Amino acid sequence: MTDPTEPPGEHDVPEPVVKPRPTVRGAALAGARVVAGLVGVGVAVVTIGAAGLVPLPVVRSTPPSVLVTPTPTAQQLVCPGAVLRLADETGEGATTVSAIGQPIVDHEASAGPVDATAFAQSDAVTATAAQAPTLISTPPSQSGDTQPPLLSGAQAQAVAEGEFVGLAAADCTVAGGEAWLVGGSTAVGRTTLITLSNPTEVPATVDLELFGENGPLAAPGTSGIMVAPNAQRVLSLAGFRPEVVSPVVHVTSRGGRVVADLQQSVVRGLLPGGLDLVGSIPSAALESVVPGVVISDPLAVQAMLGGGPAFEDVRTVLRLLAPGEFDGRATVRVIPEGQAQTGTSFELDVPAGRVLDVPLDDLAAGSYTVLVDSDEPLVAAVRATVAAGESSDFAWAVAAPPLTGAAQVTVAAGPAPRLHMFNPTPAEVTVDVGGLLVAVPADGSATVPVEAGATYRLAGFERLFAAVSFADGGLLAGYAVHPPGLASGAIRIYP
Amino acid sequence: MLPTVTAVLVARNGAQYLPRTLAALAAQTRRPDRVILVDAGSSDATPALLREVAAARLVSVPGRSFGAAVAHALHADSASQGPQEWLWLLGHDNAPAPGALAALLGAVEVAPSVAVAGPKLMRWDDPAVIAGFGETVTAGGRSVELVDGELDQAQHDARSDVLGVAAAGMLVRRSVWSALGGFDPGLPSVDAALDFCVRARLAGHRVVAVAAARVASAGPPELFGRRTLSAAGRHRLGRAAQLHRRLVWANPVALPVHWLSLVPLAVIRSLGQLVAKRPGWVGGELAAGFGAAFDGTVGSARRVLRRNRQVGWAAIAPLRMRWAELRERRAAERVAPGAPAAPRERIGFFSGGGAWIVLLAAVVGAIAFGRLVGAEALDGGGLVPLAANVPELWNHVGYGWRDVGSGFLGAADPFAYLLAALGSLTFWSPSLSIVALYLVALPLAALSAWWCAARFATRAWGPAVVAIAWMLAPPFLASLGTGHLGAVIAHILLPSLVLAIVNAARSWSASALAALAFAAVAASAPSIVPALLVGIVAWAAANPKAFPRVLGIPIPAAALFAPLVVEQFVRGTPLALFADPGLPVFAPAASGWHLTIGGGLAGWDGVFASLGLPAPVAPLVVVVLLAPLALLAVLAPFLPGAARGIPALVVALLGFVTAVAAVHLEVTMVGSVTTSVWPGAALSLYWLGLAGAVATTLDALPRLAAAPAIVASIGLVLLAVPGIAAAAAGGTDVVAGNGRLLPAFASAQTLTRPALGTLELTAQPDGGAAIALHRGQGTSLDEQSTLAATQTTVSDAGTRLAILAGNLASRSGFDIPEELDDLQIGFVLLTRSDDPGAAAGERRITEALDGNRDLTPIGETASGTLWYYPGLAEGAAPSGPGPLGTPLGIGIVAGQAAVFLVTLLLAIPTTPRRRLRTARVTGEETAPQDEVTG
Repeated sequence: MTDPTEPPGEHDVPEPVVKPRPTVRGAALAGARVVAGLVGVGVAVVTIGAAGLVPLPVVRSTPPSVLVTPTPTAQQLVCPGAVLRLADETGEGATTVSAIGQPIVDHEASAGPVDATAFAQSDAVTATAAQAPTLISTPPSQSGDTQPPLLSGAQAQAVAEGEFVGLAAADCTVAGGEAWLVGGSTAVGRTTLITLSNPTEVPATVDLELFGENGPLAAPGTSGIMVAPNAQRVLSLAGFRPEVVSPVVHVTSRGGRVVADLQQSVVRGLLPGGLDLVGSIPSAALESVVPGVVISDPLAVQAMLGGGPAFEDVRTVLRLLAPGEFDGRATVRVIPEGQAQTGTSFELDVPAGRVLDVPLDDLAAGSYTVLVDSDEPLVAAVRATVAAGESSDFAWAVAAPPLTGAAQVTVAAGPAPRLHMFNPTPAEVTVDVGGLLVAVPADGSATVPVEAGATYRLAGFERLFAAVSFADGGLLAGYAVHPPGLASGAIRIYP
Repeated sequence: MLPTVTAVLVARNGAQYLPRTLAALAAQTRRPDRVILVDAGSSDATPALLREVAAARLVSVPGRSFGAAVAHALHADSASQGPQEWLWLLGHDNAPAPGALAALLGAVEVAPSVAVAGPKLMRWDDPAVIAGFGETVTAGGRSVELVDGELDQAQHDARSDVLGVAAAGMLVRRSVWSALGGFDPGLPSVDAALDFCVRARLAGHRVVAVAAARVASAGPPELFGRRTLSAAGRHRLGRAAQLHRRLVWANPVALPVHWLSLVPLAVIRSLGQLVAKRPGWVGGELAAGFGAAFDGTVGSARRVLRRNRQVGWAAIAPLRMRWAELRERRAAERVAPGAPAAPRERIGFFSGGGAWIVLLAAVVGAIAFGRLVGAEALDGGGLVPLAANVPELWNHVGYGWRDVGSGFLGAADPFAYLLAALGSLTFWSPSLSIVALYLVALPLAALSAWWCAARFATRAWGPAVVAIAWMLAPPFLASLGTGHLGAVIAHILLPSLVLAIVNAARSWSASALAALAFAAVAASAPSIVPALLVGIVAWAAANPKAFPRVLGIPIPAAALFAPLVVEQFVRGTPLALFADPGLPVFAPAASGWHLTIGGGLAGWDGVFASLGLPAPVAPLVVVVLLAPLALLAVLAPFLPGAARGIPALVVALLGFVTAVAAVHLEVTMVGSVTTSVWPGAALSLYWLGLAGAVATTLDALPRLAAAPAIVASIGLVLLAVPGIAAAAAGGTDVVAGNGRLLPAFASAQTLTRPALGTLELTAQPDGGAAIALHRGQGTSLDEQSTLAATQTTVSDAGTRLAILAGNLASRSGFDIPEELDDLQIGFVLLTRSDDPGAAAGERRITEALDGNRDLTPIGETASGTLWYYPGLAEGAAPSGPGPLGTPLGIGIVAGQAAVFLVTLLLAIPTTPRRRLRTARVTGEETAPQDEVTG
């Protein structure tokens, strides 16, 4: 404590108790004290006021960091393999899974060789290697390559064997730690299989989280599913929980990463109802875009709908799930492709944890993009059915991940392939589809026929959603286009 | 044959004395036969005065010593007049009494063996007091005045034979003077006459003191021609003369021993001077030692002595002072009354209620932190365990390899010294000292504050309120809860520091204690150093006489901080010097309003939130609870005692401004965010000023002190209730830890491989990751470095580590095993982040690490998810030298150790042995300056 007025030592002496006597000196002292006190109060008020009210500049250092771009690694895509059935060829042995036929797998890289190998191990009985899931990969790019080559692949398989009739197509995708499978049913006559393929070098421990129309479903055996390296596990959804009309499966893996796919086949009585391979959605999002919803003959489907309750699921439905803790409110827009028509839109509540199948009736023939904007993260997919006489086929179009840079799509060897694109930006873009320029209107869709088995580079956009569809007569299939499966993105490290 | 007397009067700037001296010389009953006046280079009116004297020769010599001036005068006067010629040596201030020369001659005439006679020297300004009457040496060789400053009651008049007499008024046979070569040129002033007398004795003559002859003297010989001389200067001259005599008088066999002992003795005696609180004498001590070691005049002086010696040293031994007599004299000096202690009634620790307050603090402390009893260490907030053992603690101080982050060579924080000292107290388990500090923090704070307040107060109420306010200060409780150890230590030490600084104006011991406390506070909380320096400079300005004692207080702190200051300035980040030492933790910056009420709402916001009351209620309650305290503080300048109250409020203002500045200074990086300097220590200063003002007010209220004191105390206690309750319920960041820095599995592995690294990743809200590399048992609290926490660029090693971490956190084709081998990293630890924004990053990193075939997941641990790299090759980790591993490091540690040794020696309390007076020629107007020791 500083004391500029008193010499040291006087602290020790008690203040002399002076009897108040009105002297000039006493009055001056008292006056000085009052002045000092008032000055003190003034200084305090000014200081505190300044500290509380005046915005003072902040001296702030920037944390030093290094933006580390990981060394590119071998790119790996997994194609799910042949259509499977939960019985052997004779229809016996309902506990074993066997492959039917073999898919046609196409793949291409923008540079360098592509290596395609069959998975070594699978739950499914596969007669030939071609029936097994295929791992396609490019070696790590040479040093100096900042932009690794683009790799893409896709498979298609038309099946007409007994009760399995229909077209199934799938994109070959990158393994990840999380996937949402939106589609399938475990009602009578509906078979839904989940395939988990682990292309990595370490075992994966997979947990499944099941949701149904009545909320989350608890089921034994859904956690701790081991998937060995370079192996595929096939699981029947009905084995976990039968009689679920609208399931959604959340797949998470620890250790190795997996590619999860869902295969659904429908038999109504003895009548084959079609089959489909459904790709996964990487994560729930506030904005879900489902491009490539193809409605080819609504009158035939309408006619089939009159066939009884077993035909209830030929309707076009939008399946929604808000997996979080809170109910959401979603706006659904159905945008037809081409500028001439305007879309319809409606709002609805999406309860947390309960799968909602929203019928999208009265859609005219054509292809559509379905948009779902919500205040809670959602996963979404649209099921569409085609009918040709007695036979029918269906396809799940799932929410596509956004493409934000150069992307590449391989069109599977299916009939009448078309590429659908949706431009979410407020400006029209001209997308370069392998040299072909396609104008995609602002907040609108465009479609272009493409060549089966060919591979196209997509460029000329900032943000785009795309899907491939196959619709020919009684066959319907499709898949969403995924962004290139690069090594992990750059990460900022704070040493 | 009648004796003839030649008086030699040497004057040097003695104009104020000369008229009386010349008049006295002229008034002698037996007048000298001849008078030689010597002007030894005067610059005042002396030459003019001397020229006026008739019948005297005037000789001018340029600035010489007394002995040299006499020699010069006699050299010019070659006419020797036989064995009966005597020389009478006088200085300008040696006015002889009328019968002085007659008495001296009377004494020498009756005893032909007497060659030297000295008069009784009387004070110039008080002729009744003896200034000197004979000299001798002790057994140790120190010269001693036989009489000094005694009232002349003829008590010494019986003395005749002495070892030596003073030069002033000395009557010496000219033949002896010439034979002995006069005064030794190696002794310019002090002991010159004594040495001459000893040589005369050894030549077989007698030296007598003549009581009947009285000569005035204005001061000792070293003051001849000088206006003033400090005590240190006198000591240096005396010591130099003593060492010169020692070398001249020594037995040739013992001479080398004496010579070799000169410098070591000087060093040892310097330390002794420090213990005796005479730091100013150290320079003279060393100068005298070195000067004697290279004294070129010793050889000729020894030759003169040898040539003239007739009798042995034993012959003069009886004239030396005996040990017993010396002891008696010292005892007499010791009991000589010093400055009478100011009569003052101090408030008793027990009678004044201090003991009760400390007991209360102990109880509150036990309630708040009792759950920590039995913990091996504290974790959470800014606390992590200390290094595992004492050698490691001390290995983390000074300049050397800092094993924090990617590691670098640099200066440690001064805080590391403090932690090393603290940890050494519980040497068997250093981290235990932090637990113990938490348990005693409240009572220590209360004790420190009470003691400081009681120094200033006259009534017991003030110290009591101050102690309660101090132990329950909101910034103190906040710092304790968040583990800001530096602010906690600063808070405990601040009142003691203030007390020591105030006392430093009067005592070297207090000054040194203040310096140590200041160093500790500065090391703990660098942010309040500017405010404290302002206070110290102001106190020095208020006590100009104690300038060095007060201004020297920051020296040890400066020595501690110097390497860090240089590094931060070279790096271009001088503001980073104010960064809090210890583990960097993020603390949201408090608003200006919150700083006003001590840093925050002290937990009341939580209380009201749980009660469902509206948010503005909590600040209102806090303001109401603090209102009595604030009112009492504001009253201080209006009341008597404002001289203490106003400085207290200035301290509060300094603290508040510092706190505001602190929250606007964000230099410490915690991952991807910066955090401001913790304002806790500055708020402690603010609180200290407020508490001081409150104490002043309570002291000034005549009989009304009790009511406001009780009201203010109740407000303070209520204010602290939520904070204490939260601490007691474990709601604070600081928790009992197990003493491990890393998961048990990693800790166990590092026991056999101490250089094994553990790379810690923490996902950041921006998607990135913060990394830290732990070597061995982990980066302990004392290993933390503000140089690392405030660096704004990434070093090469940091970039390398970042690239490894970035690839570990990604699916990557990087050759991770090779880099892990090179850097000797065996574990990767992903710590859990509380920030929900970091979840995505955490998942990415987990996936990448899980998917890495080279790493084995160990699983969840208390501190995060751990992966093990089993294939780690043997190798050496990047490392560097310890504090004594580089010449620069040794220099820094040695310098700091020297400064602290000096400070510690000064801090040792000693009893005052004697009062030392700065020599000053008498007759000057100014009063003598006193220096009090002890």
